[in-house]
Amino acid sequence: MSSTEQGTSSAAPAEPTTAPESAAAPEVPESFYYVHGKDKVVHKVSAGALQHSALIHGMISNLGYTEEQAKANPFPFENIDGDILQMVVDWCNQHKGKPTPPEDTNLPKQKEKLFDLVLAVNYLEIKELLTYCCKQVAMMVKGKSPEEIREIWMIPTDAEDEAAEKEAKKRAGKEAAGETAAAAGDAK
Amino acid sequence: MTEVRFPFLSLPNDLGVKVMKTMSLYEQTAFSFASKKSHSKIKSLRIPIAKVMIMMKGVVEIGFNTKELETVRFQLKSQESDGIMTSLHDIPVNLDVYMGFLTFPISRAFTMSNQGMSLGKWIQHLCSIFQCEDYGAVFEIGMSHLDMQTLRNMFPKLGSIRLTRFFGEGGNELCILNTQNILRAFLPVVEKVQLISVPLHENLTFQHIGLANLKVLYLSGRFNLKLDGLLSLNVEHCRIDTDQFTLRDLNRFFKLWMKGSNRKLKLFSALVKWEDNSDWNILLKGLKAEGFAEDAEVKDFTIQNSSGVIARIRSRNMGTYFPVNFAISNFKKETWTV
Repeated sequence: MSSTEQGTSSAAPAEPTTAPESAAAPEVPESFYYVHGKDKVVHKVSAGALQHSALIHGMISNLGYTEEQAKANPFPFENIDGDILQMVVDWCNQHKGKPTPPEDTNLPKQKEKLFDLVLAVNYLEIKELLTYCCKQVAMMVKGKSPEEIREIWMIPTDAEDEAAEKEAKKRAGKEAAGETAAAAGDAK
Repeated sequence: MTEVRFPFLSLPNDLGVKVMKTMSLYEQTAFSFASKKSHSKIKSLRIPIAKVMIMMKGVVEIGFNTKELETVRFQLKSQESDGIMTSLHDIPVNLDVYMGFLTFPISRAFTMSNQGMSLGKWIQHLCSIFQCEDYGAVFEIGMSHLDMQTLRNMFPKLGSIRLTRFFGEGGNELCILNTQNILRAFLPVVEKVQLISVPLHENLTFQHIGLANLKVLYLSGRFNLKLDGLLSLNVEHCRIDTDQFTLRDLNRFFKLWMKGSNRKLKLFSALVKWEDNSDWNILLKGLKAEGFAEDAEVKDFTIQNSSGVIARIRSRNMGTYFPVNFAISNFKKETWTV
């Protein structure tokens, strides 16, 4: 990250030479970046927190933004809802620089938004959070019967699948017939 | 239902796979019953499982065991739970699901509906979900009478079978026929056979079973055993927990092994009844025993066959019975149970 590196290089010569060894390492000023979702609300996130996301981490490494440039150019994630991005940012902040525990109690609890959250986390390539989310999806059907699993995970029955397949075949047949008729008309 | 719903099938395939792999054995099984598509999704993961056991007792029970000793058992309750099972076309009333670890007593966790499937379909479905290394079956003779074709069609490719006799049953013709059906159906494919007090008949004797291309044969209880059966054994490991062979029989058996018979045999164990006039030297006669070690309780020596293979024979005086164990050198420990 270029902004972090700049901070380090500018601060290093100012250090007194007599300082004890333990205090020799200067406090590196934390660099921040900005992200926004579909709702255009900009979230300020530290580089440390964003390291969880392989996608954003890669972008930061490649762009080499300064603080000002980062503020002026927030990363746009138009395919992620604002509240979902907020959840992801919160999780990244809570787990900044910490090893992720095997069971995460800070996981967003709104199951209604789990589907969007899973997709967003997958897109942002946040490996640990994705593992937790998948675990939470799996937990939704823990101890459930096949009928309950069908209901909770919205799995169509075999009869519904067959009906949908028939319908799709019929539609495809009609479209093909329409195309043939149109081609024949063109030929005439 | 007040549960929050989740469009699982709308997840990208890789995420769906990740979720399915996170699920436990029971949920993966239950998911496979949700629809044909979900069944094929789980099946495509080829999740490895250490053992699947099909138990044909008073009720049909199918158990999954993982390498981590986790176990899930599906007990299919028949309409006539105290009757004799004659067909796998019957539809079970419902299923009890037991979960736990093999090392602890397992407890009933759920009850599942019968899914409109017959006993045979249940066996086929449950045996198709995971990638199993070892399918085994236990038959309690006297509790089911199934024909050979049904057994061949409904069961997966078994690696081992165990036949036991239901208490008080087993001597009548129907039981003999049942034993024969099971053995005829599976002897050509299985590696391990365990027979516990089941009735055999001259149509299918110990000699016939020993001639099948088995790896392990374990007999316990009373059988009509003859030395000829022992001499024609075509198995790697054989254990006979019955006292029907004499020291003279075993002496002849070992002498013929030295001359080159029973080349496949790596491990053999038999019980000899010790009587007042029994003489340990009868076993040793003509064996050119080497490395002889003897005390009041244990006799231990080695013999060598015409191909130079060395085998150790060890015997311990247990009072009434005298187990004689034979093992070729470099033999690794065998687990007898199916």
